[in-house]
Amino acid sequence: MATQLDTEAQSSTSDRAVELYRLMSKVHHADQRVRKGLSSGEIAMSYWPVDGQEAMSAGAALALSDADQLVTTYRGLGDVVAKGIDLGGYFGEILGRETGLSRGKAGAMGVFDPAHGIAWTTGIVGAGPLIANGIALAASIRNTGQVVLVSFGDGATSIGYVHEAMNMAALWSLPVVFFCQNNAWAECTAMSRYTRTTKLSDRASGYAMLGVTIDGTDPHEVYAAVSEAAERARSGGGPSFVEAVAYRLQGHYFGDGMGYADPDELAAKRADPPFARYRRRLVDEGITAEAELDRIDAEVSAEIEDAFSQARDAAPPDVVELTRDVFSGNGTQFSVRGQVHAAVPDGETEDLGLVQAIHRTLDRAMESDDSIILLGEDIGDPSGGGMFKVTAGLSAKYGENRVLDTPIAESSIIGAAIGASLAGLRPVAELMFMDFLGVAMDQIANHAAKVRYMSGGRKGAPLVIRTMVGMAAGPQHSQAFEAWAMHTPGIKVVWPSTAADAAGLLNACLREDDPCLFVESMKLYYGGGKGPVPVADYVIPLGQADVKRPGSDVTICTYGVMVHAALEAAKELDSEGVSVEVVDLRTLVPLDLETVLDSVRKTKRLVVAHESVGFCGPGAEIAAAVGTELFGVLAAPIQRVAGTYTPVPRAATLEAACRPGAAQLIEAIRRIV
Amino acid sequence: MTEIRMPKPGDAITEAEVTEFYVAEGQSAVEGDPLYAIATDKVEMDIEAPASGVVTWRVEVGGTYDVGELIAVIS
Repeated sequence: MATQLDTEAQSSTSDRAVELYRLMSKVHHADQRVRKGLSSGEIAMSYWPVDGQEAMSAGAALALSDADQLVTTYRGLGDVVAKGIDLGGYFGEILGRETGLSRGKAGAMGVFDPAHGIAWTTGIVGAGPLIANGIALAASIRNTGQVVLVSFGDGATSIGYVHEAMNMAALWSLPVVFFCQNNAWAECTAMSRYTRTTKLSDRASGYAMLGVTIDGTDPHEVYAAVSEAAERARSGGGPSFVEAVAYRLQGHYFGDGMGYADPDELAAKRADPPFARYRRRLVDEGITAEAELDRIDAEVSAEIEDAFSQARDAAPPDVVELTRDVFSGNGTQFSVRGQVHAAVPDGETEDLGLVQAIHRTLDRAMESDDSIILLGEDIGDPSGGGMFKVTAGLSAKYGENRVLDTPIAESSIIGAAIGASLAGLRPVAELMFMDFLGVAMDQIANHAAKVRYMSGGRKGAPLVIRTMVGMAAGPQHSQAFEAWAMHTPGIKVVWPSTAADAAGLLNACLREDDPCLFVESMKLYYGGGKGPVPVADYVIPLGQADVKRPGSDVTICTYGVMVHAALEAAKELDSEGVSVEVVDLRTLVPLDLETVLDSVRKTKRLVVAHESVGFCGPGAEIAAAVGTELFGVLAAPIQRVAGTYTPVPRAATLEAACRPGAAQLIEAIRRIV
Repeated sequence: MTEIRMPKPGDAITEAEVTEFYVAEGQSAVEGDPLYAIATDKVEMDIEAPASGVVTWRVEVGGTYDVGELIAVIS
């Protein structure tokens, strides 16, 4: 005779079996409905089928609590449907309708439904785990008890991002479940053709992480493995790697006929699909009556049909949506016209270099706002307090859970910052040299900069990336890439020329709701940039240029270190009777074009200058804008003074020739005055 | 005779403070042993004697000197 306890256990097991069926049915019917629409010509879009992977999504979703977070991929229909996404908003989004979660701006590659635990979706293979780490970091700092399950395909285990992410998650014991849905294909390439590894969970041991490989066609096995991993994560035991193995029964995308698959193997797999197999099992084992399963299927299908057909019939977004949600407040690449420029406050000052001014600003901000955390290489006191001592003493003062020394892995630094910002923190990530922007560019350009747009304006990524332009260190440690960032819609770009501006502008970045790239010049770090900084705290809003020296004959428009060269040139030309106005842009995005135009309207002559490469550089954009606006006003052709179209060489003689200075500015002005 | 000049312990460093002499004026330095200490915004470090011999200091402890300035002579 069964005891009371056994009966309860049995009933809960049977409930779970049915719940797993319901989730699999939902995934199966949603996938089928989309494919039916595509093959009948009812709808048209890019779609990545999940037929054969239902048990993975269902088992994983049931193992998570409602508050747990999911990060998934473009092949994410199963994951988000099982997690409980708003179906109408989901279908509207993948169909590009105004009813979509993000009003159709992101599509299937950017599904975001935080109310139902869907924290982010990426279309970039392997990028999700980097962001999942940041969401988990925030959960861990705030003790929310949440677990983050990041789902990715077997193909993603080849990319470096996933390895970086696994290392960081293990190092920090983050509550992450790395859920690898091995569907036998990296897009169209069989596993044996992209790796010699036969068991992908073996990758976990390389990072001192537990890894298991399970049958991804059995929802109970998936549920058990993910439950165990989630429990371990929740109790502080750190991340795990769960590889669920199945077989994708459809092409990589709708329209891919799988000509690359062995026809016999494919036919055999299709003859025994996991969903039908699980249904048979429930009936054969007497767990559920067939009629009950029919009832579930009918209920689920009706819910899907209703949501799908409404989305299909919904209107596409209006074209006014195009330029909304790039920045908060529907800001653009230009600053708002007619704004009152903030002045640096009067009163007591202290003499600081850029390093000290930034240190002071970070210190004060961390004191007053505990959502600010710092991430970067060597930044903690146990690692020296930063290569340039910007963060010295801050980990001792605020703790190592707010000042995080990272592995040398720039993508994982920025990814963690993005994830943490999605979860409500304000991370400041340090990229030691601007040359490393390229190492992390996918996270910066494809993720941080696009969060607001891809979420349809529902969320921004308020993180600050501090980086430094070096010198005397040759082609890979001395470059300025501000043009890359300026060319990427969605990221603000700031480059101060003085310690006082640096403090005020960094304060502004720390209050922004969008990602900011804060560029620092090594030349100004210590003695070179030393100047008076008000003792009082203040903010210099982004998008406000500053006239550093008034003049009437010619305008030099520049930023960063070049401002000092411009002031030197102005001083020298003053003795020859030429009056030079120096406009320091301070913020490159949003660009204060109004201040530049006002200045040139007065002087009728313009020299645009920057130390980065001139060809296709920011100066080209500014010259074009001024040329268009003031064609009839200009008394002479606009001059550009900028870095040569070369890498920055090591030899001091060559570097000096590569980087423009006061002499080149004077030469340019003499050409037009 | 070996001239000891202020080193450049970082690309952005233009000057440094001499914080300590480890060998007194007129005493002998040994090549490879600490000779004096400097401090900048970025680093504090000991500078080794590049040669053995009698030290003549050309600067003072507590002073700040430009990179390249003559600090001492070993003869």
